[in-house]
Amino acid sequence: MTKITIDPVTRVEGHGKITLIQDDDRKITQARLHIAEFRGFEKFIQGRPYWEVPVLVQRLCGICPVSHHLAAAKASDMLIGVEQLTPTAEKMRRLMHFGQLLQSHALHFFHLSSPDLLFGYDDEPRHRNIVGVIQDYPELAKQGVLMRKYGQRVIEKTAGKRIHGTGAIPGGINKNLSPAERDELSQDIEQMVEWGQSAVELCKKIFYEQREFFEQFATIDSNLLSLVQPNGALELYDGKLRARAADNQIIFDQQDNRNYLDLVNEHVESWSYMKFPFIKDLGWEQGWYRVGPLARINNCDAIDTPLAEQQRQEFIALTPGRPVPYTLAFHWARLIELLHCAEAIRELLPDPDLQGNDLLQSGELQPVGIGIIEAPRGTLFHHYEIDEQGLIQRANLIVSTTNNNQAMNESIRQVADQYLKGQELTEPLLNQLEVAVRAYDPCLSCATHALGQMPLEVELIDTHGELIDSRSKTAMHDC
Amino acid sequence: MTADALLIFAYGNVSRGDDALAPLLLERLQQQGIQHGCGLTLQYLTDYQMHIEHVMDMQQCRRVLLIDAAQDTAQALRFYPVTAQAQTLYTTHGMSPSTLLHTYQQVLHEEPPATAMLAITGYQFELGEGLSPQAEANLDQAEDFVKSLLDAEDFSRWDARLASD
Repeated sequence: MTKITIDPVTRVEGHGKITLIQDDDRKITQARLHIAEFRGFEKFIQGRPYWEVPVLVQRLCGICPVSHHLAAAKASDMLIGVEQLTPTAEKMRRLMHFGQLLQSHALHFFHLSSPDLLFGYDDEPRHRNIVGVIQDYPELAKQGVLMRKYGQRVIEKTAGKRIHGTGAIPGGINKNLSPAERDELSQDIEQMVEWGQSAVELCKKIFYEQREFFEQFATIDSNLLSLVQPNGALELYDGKLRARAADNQIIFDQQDNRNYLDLVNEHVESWSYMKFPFIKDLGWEQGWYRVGPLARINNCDAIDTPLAEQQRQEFIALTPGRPVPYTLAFHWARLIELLHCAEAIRELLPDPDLQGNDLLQSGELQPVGIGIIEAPRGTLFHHYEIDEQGLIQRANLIVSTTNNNQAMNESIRQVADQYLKGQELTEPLLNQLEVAVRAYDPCLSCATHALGQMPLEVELIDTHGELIDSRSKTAMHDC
Repeated sequence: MTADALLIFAYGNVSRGDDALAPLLLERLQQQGIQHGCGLTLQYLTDYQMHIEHVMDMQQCRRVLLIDAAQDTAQALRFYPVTAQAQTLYTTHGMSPSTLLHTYQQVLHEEPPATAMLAITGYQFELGEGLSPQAEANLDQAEDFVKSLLDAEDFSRWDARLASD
């Protein structure tokens, strides 16, 4: 077979480039994960009517379009002066969101992180992928595929379509869940809960077997940011903002989404187009934070589904009195959330409100709309301003991966400082850097508009900017 | 999926310029009401990119036609077979066509349906852009090409095209 010289354009996000800065004592003083932040969004929607935004924003990214859809819908609710949705609308949106989180977390565990966890970090890359998992753990891989599929079905039934869904609209939702759709989803939900439990147990087993490694690899102390319920419980769709410091002190709590600009600011570095969000009161140096599953499970006081709550208790017991700081514990926390989502879907499906016909609320047009949601990768901010005709004048998005920007750099720096021997970049080191980044499950297609498959490139420079070494991992293409 | 169907799976982001080529082609075929091709019932599927769960969409299909935008090529269209192959692309959320077929084999314990890729050349991929004029022309060519494949009563024309590429 001949080598095809063209590459079909993919929607696969690239991991871009990492720059490591080494001082004269050969200590890694700084790591920079270069991500070309997407900058065309404001232009893309400027002048468009606000009611189009929940659909338009799904086109930003193929990885978590539902999160953008719902965050934009929440912002649009505010734009039309709706503070409380009907029970049917709110429960349909929550169901959609649980489906999105379930399928996203399933993809990450079964497709992306399980090879790292199951085969260790020095394993041959060709084996350390989903194909390796399928060979060695055939049932696990199949469960991953079927959980993905189930999450997609939940999205399809609630958003109207598997992709480019239109379910959430300003002020509510445009469809309910029919009894037939409910019955179809109910058929498999017990299996999803069971597989979710098995996945958490497997992840825990791996963690305990390699506990020392898991506790030190890429571990950093950081602030944590997430939404929580009024009682402090885990909240993924619509809560108040809480920030917690690495020493467990609460920085702020129960803050209204509308005040986010008073709480969070964005730092700019000359070497990156991507911004660096931080907690305003702490300043940039001390105020950067982590979002996502690790932050959420650490930050909440409880989970309102029993199996996930039981798992959370065991998780937080790892470091009594302070948040679990282990970067690799992202995987464990992610699976607790996966289990929670499966349980939450199971609880929601029999609710007769899902078959209600009161779908929409209305109100007076407002100039500003802010919607914040816990996307699979972390807190996602959507902020829009409109004119009297309802046309978008300004938009600001802070996506989950951007929120984790500095935390990823810190984890990379920690790994490079620990594992880089001398001044030669090696393949195992590149693998380890990838493992550190992958724990955060960054969605780089959301943050970049680069196309094509971009292998990891790492360069090592001295404090004067002189290149010491560079290395890249090449990606194989179809033949 | 209907058993023994022909699946046409077009992927791309309709808001990123010429990346919309494949979904737009699928839309044209659907709008023309084309429901059969090569003697089989057609199944249409579109998404932003490939994911592991797409193996379930391919199950019970006799053949699969993948359609994607392409770049960096002088030809307007390329039509070529895709075979199952393990790859080292384990760092991203998406999959390549060959890895998807390999996943199919491993998950479903059977050979995947015979699969071909139609790559349509695009030129600009920025968010918010429409199709470029060259891509529009390539889309017309692609539509004619696919319709000529589907017009046949079986896969003899399809196979001949693959062999000649």
